[in-house]
Amino acid sequence: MAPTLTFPKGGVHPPESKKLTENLAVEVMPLPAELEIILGQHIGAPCAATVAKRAEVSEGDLIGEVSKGLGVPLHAPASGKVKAVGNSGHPVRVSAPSVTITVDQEAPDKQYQPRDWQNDTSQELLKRVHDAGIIGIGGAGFPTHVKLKPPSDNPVDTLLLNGAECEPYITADHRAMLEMAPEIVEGAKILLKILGITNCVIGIENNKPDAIKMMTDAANGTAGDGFSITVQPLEVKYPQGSEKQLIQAITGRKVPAMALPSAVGVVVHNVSTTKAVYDAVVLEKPLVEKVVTISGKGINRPANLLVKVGTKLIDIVEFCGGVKPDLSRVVMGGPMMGFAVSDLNIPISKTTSSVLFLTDEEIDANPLSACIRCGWCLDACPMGLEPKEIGVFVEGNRAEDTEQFGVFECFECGSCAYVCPAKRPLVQFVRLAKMKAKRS
Amino acid sequence: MKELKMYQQPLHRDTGMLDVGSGPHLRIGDGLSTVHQRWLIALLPALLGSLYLFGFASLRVFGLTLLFALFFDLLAEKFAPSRDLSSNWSTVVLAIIFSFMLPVNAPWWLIGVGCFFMIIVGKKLFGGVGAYPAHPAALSIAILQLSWPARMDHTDALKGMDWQITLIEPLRLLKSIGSSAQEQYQLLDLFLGRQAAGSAEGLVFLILIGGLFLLFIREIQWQLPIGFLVGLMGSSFLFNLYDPNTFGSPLFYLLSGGTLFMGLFLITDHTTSPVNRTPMFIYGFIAGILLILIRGYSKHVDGIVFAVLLANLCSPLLDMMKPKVEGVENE
Repeated sequence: MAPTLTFPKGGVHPPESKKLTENLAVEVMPLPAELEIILGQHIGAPCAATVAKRAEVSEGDLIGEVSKGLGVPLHAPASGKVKAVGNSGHPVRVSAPSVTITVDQEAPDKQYQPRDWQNDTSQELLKRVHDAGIIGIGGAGFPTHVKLKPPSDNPVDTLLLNGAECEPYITADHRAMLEMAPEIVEGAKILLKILGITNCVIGIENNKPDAIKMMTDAANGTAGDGFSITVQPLEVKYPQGSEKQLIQAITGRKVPAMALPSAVGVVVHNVSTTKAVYDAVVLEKPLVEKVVTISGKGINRPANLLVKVGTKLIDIVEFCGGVKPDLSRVVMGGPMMGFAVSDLNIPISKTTSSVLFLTDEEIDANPLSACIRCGWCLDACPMGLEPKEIGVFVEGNRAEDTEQFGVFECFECGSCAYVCPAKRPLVQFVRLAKMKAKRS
Repeated sequence: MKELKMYQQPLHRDTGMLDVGSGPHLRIGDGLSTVHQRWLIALLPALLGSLYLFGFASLRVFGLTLLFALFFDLLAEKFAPSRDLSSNWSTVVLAIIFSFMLPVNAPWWLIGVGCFFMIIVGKKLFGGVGAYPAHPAALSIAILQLSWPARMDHTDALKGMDWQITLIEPLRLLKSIGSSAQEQYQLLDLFLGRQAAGSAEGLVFLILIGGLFLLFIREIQWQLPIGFLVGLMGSSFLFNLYDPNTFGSPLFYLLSGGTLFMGLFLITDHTTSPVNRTPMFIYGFIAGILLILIRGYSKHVDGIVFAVLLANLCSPLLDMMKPKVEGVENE
């Protein structure tokens, strides 16, 4: 096995807590009675609904489209009747426009037949990726087809697949790699063909030796196709799965500030996104469902569930046997970067990789105190920023002067706030600073 | 719509909603009190050593200091409440550090005045933990040494002791008779703490154990003591070459008085030291040189507190050397 690699600066080692779900096979969650599909799931312009109230839709039908600007279409995750085109709860925006579908439980499951994609041109493949509504489902939600069209002045030579899954608790990518390794490798070949390159590296943290083995076997099976697909084990360190950190760990290239990975000739995709690309191109199946880890000590039955986009948390809680009395916080996404939600009527989106039900013993809700200038946040920051200065400036009402500390380079991984002995909400300070500070 | 209450959730009693908060939802440690408790553990060996050596005399000093310091802390809390009570733990640490530098025969009123300056002036007036610009304990000792030099005389304090060694502060003798004073002391004696010094600052061996503990658990960064060591040894070596009559040898400076205490506990204070790694090293280096200069050319005998205070003043300036933001250098 190749030696493990990691990024050079900062990083933390939070308890992994992946034991809860890492050995549970992905279960298909039965269709809920109702699905709420948020129209703005990706970065860019939100979709406009293309269906009206009381319209009949079947699985895979188009229900939303972006007419202008960056975006991808949206599809009906299940057959049924449009109940409303209105608003739904949203973990960040509180409320967001959505389409509600009353699911027709009697409708037969849609069957997908694999087809041969080898004869498609890269333009055709790219169009299929766009039409299937594929976005970065690892969390960012950036439309995948845009990343596959790098600017022509920056030739790309390497495709990185992100299987690091560095956030504690989450095992969705881990299970996907174990159960769908051949599909992911096939998806990687599709991505390579679209990009017109042959070199692909799959980065996986070495706390998932079984996934490393499965992916290595699957990648070795493709030898002789003209592609070079290899697996690179990575050291277990948060935030290993961050784009810039992953690129530096695997290729040694530093992405310049404010630049995209294509500036150093690299494109990064999540392994689950790659699986979705496979579905879109080979099965002609739009992105309507995804693997979500349901974990934490506050839920009675932790699980890795294959759920339809738009399934509400309350239905998941019911399917997983309810919550425990000492539940204290429900988080969509990982415990480091995820968002706590205030009620359970919020639907799963394409970018939700986990829903965590955390108890008092798992979360830390200690009040903040003054910064003691210990400097541990500087050691933890993978970007070499000064989180403590940003915090002090924001508290002192000088958020607009924080650009000097590189506040726009911060990707809010939370390493600084994780180590802070004064329990300062440094990520929150950074978000405030980003709102007020102006880019020069 | 299903009722949330059927799952017995801890809903907020007014809003009926789940508790929210900004990420990261996982955090390490139990807050600032943990930090201060680690410092107390590190101070413990020297504290116990002092109790063993001086018995009731040092118990009296430690007890009175704690009492006065906590009294002034609580008094200040009454008039200007701080955000959390962890500042009390920091007061305990400051009190112990302060008492280490006191002579064992310090009168009660001297300790009281010292605690007033340390807690009220040095700490609270400047905004408490994380905000004070100069180390409060060093500040208070400096005030006492300038105001009551005779009362702060460690030689006088220990004159009743039955030790088979020269019972004069090594640095005092060095100051009065020049470098021939070094012949009066065994370096091993100095290292084991058999020297006239404050209640615990001179217990070099035990101070070293505590400091190594702090370094080992990464509570303090190695750049500070190493920078200090380099500055101290380098400058004393050069000064010793230049003027061997006035200046002692580097090892003599390192092992006598509170040198090691300063390098491991005073300049490493989180609040007053720089936060970036390179400035930390420079800060320690400056403190080391300042200490030798003060010992050689001023009227002060030990002078660790003056070196600390002067170094404290450089800290904000040094912190203007910022770390490089990842990726920016490529532009």
